[in-house]
Amino acid sequence: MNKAVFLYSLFAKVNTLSSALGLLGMSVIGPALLTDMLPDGRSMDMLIGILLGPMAIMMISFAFIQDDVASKRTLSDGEYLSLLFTRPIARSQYIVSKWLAGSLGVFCIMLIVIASFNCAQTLQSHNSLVDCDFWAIVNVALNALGYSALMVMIRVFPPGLNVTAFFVLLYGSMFGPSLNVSMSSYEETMPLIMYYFTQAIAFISNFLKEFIYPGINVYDVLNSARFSILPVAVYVSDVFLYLLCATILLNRREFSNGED
Amino acid sequence: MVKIDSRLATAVPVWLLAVTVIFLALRVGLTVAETVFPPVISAEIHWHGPEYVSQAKEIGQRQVLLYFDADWCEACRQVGKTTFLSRDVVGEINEKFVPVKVTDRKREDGKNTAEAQKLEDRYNIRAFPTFVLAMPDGDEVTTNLGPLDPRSMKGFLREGLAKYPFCQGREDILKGDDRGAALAFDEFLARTNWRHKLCSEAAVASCVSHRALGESEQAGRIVEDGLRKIKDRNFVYQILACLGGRLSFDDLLRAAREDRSNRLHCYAFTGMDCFAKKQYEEASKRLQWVVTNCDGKSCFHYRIAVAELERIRSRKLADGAGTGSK
Repeated sequence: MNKAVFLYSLFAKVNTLSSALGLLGMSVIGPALLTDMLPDGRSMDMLIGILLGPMAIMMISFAFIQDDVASKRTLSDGEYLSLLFTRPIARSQYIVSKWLAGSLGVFCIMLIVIASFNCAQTLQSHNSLVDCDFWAIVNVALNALGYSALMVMIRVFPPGLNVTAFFVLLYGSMFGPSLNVSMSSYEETMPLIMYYFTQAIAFISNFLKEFIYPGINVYDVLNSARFSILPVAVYVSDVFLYLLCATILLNRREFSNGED
Repeated sequence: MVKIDSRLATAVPVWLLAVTVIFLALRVGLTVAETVFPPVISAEIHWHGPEYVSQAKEIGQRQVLLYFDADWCEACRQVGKTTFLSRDVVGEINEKFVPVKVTDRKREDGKNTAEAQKLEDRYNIRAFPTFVLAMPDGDEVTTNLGPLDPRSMKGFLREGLAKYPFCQGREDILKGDDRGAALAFDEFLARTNWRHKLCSEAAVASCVSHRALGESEQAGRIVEDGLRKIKDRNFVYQILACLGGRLSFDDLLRAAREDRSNRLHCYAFTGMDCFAKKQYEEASKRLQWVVTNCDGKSCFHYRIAVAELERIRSRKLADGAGTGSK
């Protein structure tokens, strides 16, 4: 891992007071307001699922993992920039540093969100909405590592393609669950083109869920009545495959420490 | 200037390659192995068939979890492989619910069995998977369309358990059991900590039931607590304010505007309150408005208005008989 790239990636988004306050406000005030305004019920459960789910994790990690080292801006201390100029790094180091920085950033923000929810629900004598136990924290950490690896790979895609891929993944996680139902009578009354369109979207979102999203819920794996380590193998292979692909893709791309 | 060997900069680390290859091989190996030798299942949901619902005697006081699926439904297969194999979910369902699985066979056989079709029609099932939590007598408590992961499933079951006393209270009101209704709605409010979206309605119904029992002090306390604790200030919240004397009936009607649902709530609950306060003429007028303006006979407002009008009629008859005998 390269310390300079790691620190730059981690702090580039929070190096100004306004962005730091914005991030903090979003992760603290959002859950507090949500807990105060919304009554208990399934709509609340669904909203929390979105706030702590893959969509939010992908958005935060995409923001942390930029496709630059210093983005041609002069940092206040200039330390990271000078380090990069004096010590060119291997591309694999660059990828691993970005991945770890993104994961740590996502992990910290998600922890703040969970803590905010728990504080708000304690203060307002709310029923338990968000788990804040050992397994919840382990899951947040593992999902942060998984989705950050995916975002690192997306970020090294050619310009244009990376943003497209990001939005496909984002919409897949957003609309996938709602399309993941099999209609019976409704299908028969639906226009054919709409039917094929819905089927195609459902197929893509299923494909993304099965083969692309590197999420895992350790508690569910251990708590399953049919114990299997296959989900763990799938998760680990996904993460390392994305890092490997990111390294190979970056090797094939024009990349210069000096330019960055 | 520092020179760097470009081969070193672009080299793929051996450890990264090795770990990826090892875990990919493990993934493929486990997938094949688990297809050939499926892992042993240590706990399962004891599903009943659709015909079990008609044998309501055996169901007792537990809620019924109806799971509608189809063999061709991919999402249902996922639910079967994950959610219904979670030990927490299995334990909770087997302990607190009566699980009934209804598999749609229309695509394969052209039609369903009579029992399965009856249930699909009753709960208006149009897509799979659909989960329905129902009272022991079959009245719907809550429904979910689409797959649920173990966490969401637990939330769905929790919601069903929380709503159970609310539905029980509604049944008691329809039966004219004010004591049962008051107890059920109070339990619902305590269980949900006044945070559920149905709390306004539960508080209104509890207040009316306590008034009907002559417990005005208790009714007043419910209104005060409700006005202070309920955050979801929907239209029914304003009915609560009206019952507490903070809003006149005319103001309430103005707040309801031309919204039919609001007006139905307004006339039904204030009509019940008039009945509880023995203002029979006013109660009849408001409840009759509900009967005339409600679209469906299965609608709760319609059923409650009919039941209350019947109670008013029998109360008047009893009062008349009492006066006659004097």
